[in-house]
Amino acid sequence: MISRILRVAGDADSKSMVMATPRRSRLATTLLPLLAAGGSAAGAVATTAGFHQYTAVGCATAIAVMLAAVGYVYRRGRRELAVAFAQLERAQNDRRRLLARPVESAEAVRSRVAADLHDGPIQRLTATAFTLDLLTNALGRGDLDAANDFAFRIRDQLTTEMTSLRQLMNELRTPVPAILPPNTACRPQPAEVGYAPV
Amino acid sequence: MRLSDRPARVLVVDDDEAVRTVLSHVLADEGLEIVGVAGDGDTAVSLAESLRPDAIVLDVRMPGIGGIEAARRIRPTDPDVRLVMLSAYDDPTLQQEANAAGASSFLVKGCALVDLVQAVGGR
Repeated sequence: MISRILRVAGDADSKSMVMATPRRSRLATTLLPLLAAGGSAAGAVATTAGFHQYTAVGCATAIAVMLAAVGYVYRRGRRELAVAFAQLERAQNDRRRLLARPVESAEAVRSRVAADLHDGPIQRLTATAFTLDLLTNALGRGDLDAANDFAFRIRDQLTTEMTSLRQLMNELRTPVPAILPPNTACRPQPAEVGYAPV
Repeated sequence: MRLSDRPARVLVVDDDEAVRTVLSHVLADEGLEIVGVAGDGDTAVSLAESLRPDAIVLDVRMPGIGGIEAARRIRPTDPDVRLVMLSAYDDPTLQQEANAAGASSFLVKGCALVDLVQAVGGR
């Protein structure tokens, strides 16, 4: 009877263990019937050895309860360990995600800057280089009017490109730290560094 | 039929309008015939089929299918066309990809005009 109760209890516990850690629950379900059987066997041995029947049953019950308590403590420890492992794993995943976030952001910025450089300065300078070729050809032909036109065009292209680069440079500049109060100039004032503005 | 004594017929493909215009101008100035211009890879593929140029100057990075994929599609339809890749990226891996796609030559933007004209087949 006791062994049956313990077996049922062991099954119920083993179900909760299955949810947490399947491998450990197998160990518990194997261990509990063995402990219960050990209690029954001890009772039978006591009866055979000539102890009074009630003494033998009491002895068997005590041993079975003690073994069940050991099993319970063991299983509880394993369950708490499994929960701790799960929490640790979650914490490690969170840490990995947090560490990866700045790297991903930096990569996104680098890709955007590379794309901006391709679509802006490189294309404009390519056009300027070809216009210089046209200027050279015009000079070679002695066509000064065309050469003059190309020279002006190159000047315009360079001015446009410098404006574009300046804009990119401003976008890349390190932002003002959040610790500074509003309306604080991030550039040092002339008086602070000991020189007068030109 | 392509004749060797007439100027090479060239299709210019670049998504940047300024580059496209000045590239067409400079190639025409070198005695080449510009038969068409395109701003993306898909248009380049269809124009290559309809115009049958002697050479196509292809930008690598473009919206849509891009220059390398365009070359991959054009090459089987015209084994003789000179596919000149003109890229902002001086990248050997990209060059290998372009060669595998059937490009005849790979030039970096800013190269000497004589190299470009030679690759296109002007002289």
